[in-house]
Parts: sequence; structure tokens; C-alpha cells
Amino acid sequence: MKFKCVIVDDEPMARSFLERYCEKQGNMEMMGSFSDAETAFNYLRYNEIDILFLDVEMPGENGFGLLDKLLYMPKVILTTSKTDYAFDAFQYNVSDYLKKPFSFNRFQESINKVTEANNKVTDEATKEDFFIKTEGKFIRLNYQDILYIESVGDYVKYFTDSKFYLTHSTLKAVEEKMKTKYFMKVHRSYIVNLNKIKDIQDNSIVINGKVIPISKSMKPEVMGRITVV
Amino acid sequence: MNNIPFSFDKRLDSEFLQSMYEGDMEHATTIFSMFVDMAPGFVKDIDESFALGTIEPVRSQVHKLKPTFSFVGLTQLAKKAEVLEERCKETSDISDIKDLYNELKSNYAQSFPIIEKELERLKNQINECV
Repeated sequence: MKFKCVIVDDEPMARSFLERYCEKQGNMEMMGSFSDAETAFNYLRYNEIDILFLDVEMPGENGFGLLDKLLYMPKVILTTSKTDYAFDAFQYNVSDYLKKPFSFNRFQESINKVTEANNKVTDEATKEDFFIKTEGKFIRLNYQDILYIESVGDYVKYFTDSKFYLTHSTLKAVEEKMKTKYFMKVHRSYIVNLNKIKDIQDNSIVINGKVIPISKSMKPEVMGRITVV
Repeated sequence: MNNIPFSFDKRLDSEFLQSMYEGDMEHATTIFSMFVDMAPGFVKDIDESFALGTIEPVRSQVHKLKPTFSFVGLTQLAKKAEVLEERCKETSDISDIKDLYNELKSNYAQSFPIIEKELERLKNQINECV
């Protein structure tokens, strides 16, 4: 398996190192190497990748700003010459943190960590159900029973045909665990099951009678993921 | 991508360079060449920001320059750049960083010809092996 990867770093020598290391690694497919977050976002909003090598401090928008805008979360490896971002890295659930400059051995360790984690996610993704903790107990939910998921403060609601389940989490955390094949974040407060969409009008989706807004920036991706004959 | 035997100049952090390039001298040549092309421009940018007397652009540009020193084995210079970057965060008075900056510039000016020479040696070595 080849992992689709993208590099975002304003420093050309740092990009050159990463490009070379990816080439040496052998199982990486370089999809793009960008010098700023804005250009990278223009690519990433329409193209799903597996691994994002991301510098933090860049002119214009920084690396975390780019992550804020992404509507899916690839595995992120921060590449920075500072160690000040450990807390942010934790908050954004990044997979690893490479302090520049780093050797090929250290790069390989990082890739192994990410790809092992990815294998676990793939195993999870073949399952049809998962557990959530709600009202003091764990409830099994089938992916295809979920209509949409709504963020409400520090909680998220999983809506099915008959009821909803409230659990303490964030939409960002949920998004990472959901199968991207079926689910998509369409708004900062909503993830929808694409198979459950009844209709799409202007900037909203209707699922089971519920009108769900679509972020303006997400409309093209939504339209790209549904089949229009 | 054939590995080519090469001993870096002793004035550079050769152990570190070997760990970075692992015999990939084609890539070492690319990086040394990029450094020779770009570092003078980076330093000129810092000079201009320094002359304007505003700390943040100096800090940001030193931050960018810092890892490039390491990439060519100037690890001591990278450490000095890190000290300067940290100092920039602690003060808003450009005169507070003047001595550190001048020292960094002086060290850079002494080191640059070493990198230029090393680049020539790398190119020659690659040509001999082709």
C-alpha cells in the first residue's frame, strides 16, 4: 500500500529533505509539496490524503490554521524547529512531532508509528458498528443507523431514526473515528451520513426532515461526493 | 540513488551530516547548493528588518534560517540562532539583540566560504563517481 502524502513548509531545504526521505521510504506517494498553508488548503479541500507533513510557523496562515479549516483529518506529522507546540500538537491529535532537522531514521520511526496506527484504523473501519458512552453506559451503534451527528457545546448528539444519543466529545474527535466513506463534515456543527441525504437545496441538506446547513466552503466537496446523474 | 563515500570538512558537524545524508551525496549537493544560493538572501532580509528596528520580523526570519544552518552541518550556528530567536521573544528593544546578531553574522560570514568549498568538493566527488 502506498500512502498519499503532502508537505507544507515554507522553507525549501526542509521540503527537499522531506521529499527525499519520502522517496527513500518507498511506500509514499508525494501528492504535493507546498510553501504555504493557503495553497495547500486549495489542494487538500478537494483531495483526500493519508499523511500531512506540516510546518507550524509559516508566513500567512500557520499550520494549525490549516488544520482548523480541513474537513477531514489526515495523519498529521508536525515538522518544526521548535518544541513549543507540544500542547497544540496534543490538542490537534497529531500523530508525531519531528523537530527539524531530523535524520532519515527518525523519519522512518515516525512513518512506522503512523502506518501502524493506520492499520488499526483500517481494521476498525471494516467493522459495521462502534460503541459510544452515554448515560453512564456503553451503547453499540451501527454506522448505517446514524443519520447525522450534531455538535452541542462539549457534547455531540448521534441521531438515528428513532432517537438521539448524547455523549461527551467534540465533532473533531468524532470525525476522525467515523468512516469517511459514509460520513462527511458539512458544517462546523454537523457530520452527515451521505447515504441518508434526502435532498440538497442551496446551502442545506435534508435528512429525515431535519434541515442541516452546509458551509459555503464545503458545498463543492459535498457535490463532489454525491452521484449526480 | 547510489551512496558515495565522502568525508565532510572537520569544521562542520560531520557526524550529524552523515546521519542526515547517510551517503546520499546527491542530496547533500542539492542542499549545500540551495544554502549557497539562498542563505545570503535570508541574511540580507534579516539585516533589513534589523535596520528597521522591529523585533518580530527579525525573530521570524532567524527562525527560518536556523534549521538551514543545521542542514549544512553548521550546528553551532543553529544553536546561536536559537538563542537569538529566544532573546527576540523576551525583548522589544532591538539594541538588546544587537550583540547576539552581530556575533551570528560574523560566524556566518566565516562559515559561508567553508560551505562553498564543500559544495565544490561534493560536486567533484559526484563527477568522479559518474
